[in-house]
Amino acid sequence: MAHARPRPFPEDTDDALVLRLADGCGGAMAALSDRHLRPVLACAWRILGDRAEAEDVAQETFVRLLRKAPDWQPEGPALRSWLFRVATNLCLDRRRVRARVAPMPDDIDRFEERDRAPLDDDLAIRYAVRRAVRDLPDRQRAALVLVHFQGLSGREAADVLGVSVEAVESLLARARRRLRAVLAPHMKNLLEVQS
Amino acid sequence: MKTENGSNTGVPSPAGMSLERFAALAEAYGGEIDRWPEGERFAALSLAGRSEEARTLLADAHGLDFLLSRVDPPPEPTPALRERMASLEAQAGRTARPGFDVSHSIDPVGASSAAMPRTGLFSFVRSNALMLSVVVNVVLAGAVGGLWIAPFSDPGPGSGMVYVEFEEALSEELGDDLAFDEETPEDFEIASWPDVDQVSDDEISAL
Repeated sequence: MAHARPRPFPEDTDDALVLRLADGCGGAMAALSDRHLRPVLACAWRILGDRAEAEDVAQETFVRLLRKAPDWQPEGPALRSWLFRVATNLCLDRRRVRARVAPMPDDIDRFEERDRAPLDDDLAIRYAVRRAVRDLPDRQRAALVLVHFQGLSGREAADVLGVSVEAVESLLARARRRLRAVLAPHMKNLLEVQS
Repeated sequence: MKTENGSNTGVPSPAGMSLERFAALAEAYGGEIDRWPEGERFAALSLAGRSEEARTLLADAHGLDFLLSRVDPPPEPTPALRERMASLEAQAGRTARPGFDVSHSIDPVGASSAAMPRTGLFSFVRSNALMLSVVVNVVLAGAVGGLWIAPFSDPGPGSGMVYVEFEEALSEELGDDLAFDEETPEDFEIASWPDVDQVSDDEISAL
C-alpha cells in the first residue's frame, strides 16, 4: 500500500531512527513502522495463523521498541533481527498459552467453516500447505517462517531464535522433512494442476 | 553441521563440498542455492555442476519449495492497526525522553483503546491508582485537619512530610519537568501545614 505523504527521514539508518525515537522526535516511529511493520506482521501471522493476534503482536513489538529506544546500542544486533526476535518470542509465548487452554480456531479453521463447498484442487493444496505449516512444532515453524518466508539467513535466524546456526539448520531440516511427509499426497496433485 | 573440512557453515571450503553437506543444506534451505549460507554457495554450485546426485537433491528440494510458495501472501496491516501505530507515534512524540519509561503509558490491547489520550502522567496515575489513592487520602486528611487547626498553631518541623515524600517519588518517576510543583497553585502549598501532634490540647479545646 502506497502512502499518500512522504515519510520523514528516508535517508536515515534504522539506528539513527531509533535514536530519534528515543529523543521523542515526531515521525521516527512512523518511519520505522513504515519499514518494518509489514514484515513483522507477516512473521507473526505465519507463526500464529491468526490475523487479529498477529496485529496485537506487531503492535506490542513496536511498543517494546519504544521502551528499548533510550538504551539502544547501535553496535548491537540489527534492528530487523531485534524486531523479529521480539515478535517471534511473543508469538511463541502466545502459542504456549494457547496450548494450555482450549484450542481456538485460527484463520484456516474459520475460513474452512465458512466455505463448506467442495474445494478445487488448487484451493485444497493451499489449505493443506497452510495446515501443515501451522501444525509444525513451534520452533521448527518459527525457523521455517524466518528463513523460508521472511528471507533471513541462517545466521540471522540463529540470532533471532537464540541458537546456533547448526541448530537452525537442524530445525529447518526437520520441518521440511515433516512437511514433505505430510504433503506427499499433494505433490502429485500439484504437478497435475500445474500441467 | 560441518563442512567437509570440518569448518562451520558459512566458511568457504577450498577443498569443495561433500555430497553429504550438499544434501544437508538442500534439506535445510531448499532448492535455491542463492538462499544458502553465502560462504558455501560457490562450492555448492560447483558440486551441482558436476554431480547428478546433487542436481537430484536440488530438484527434490524445489518440489517442496514450490508447494510452500502456494501459501497465501501475508495480510496487509489493517486500518485499525495503522491507527494504533499512529497512536504509538503520538506517544513517542509526547513522552519519550531519556530516563523515562514510556512502557507504562501505552496499552497494546486493541484498537478500541488506541484512540484514548494518555499522557505519561495519566498512565502513571492509572497504573498506581491504589498507592496514589492512599497517599491522596492521607494528604486530604491532613489538609482537612490543617484547615481546622492551622489558624491556631505555628508550623513545626516535619510538617507536610507526606506531600514532600510523595513529590520526591513522583519526580523520580516522571522527571522534574513533569512533577506536580509546576502545576500546584500557591494556595495549595501544604509543605507549611502544621503537624497535628504539635497542636496543644488548649487549642483543640478552644475549637
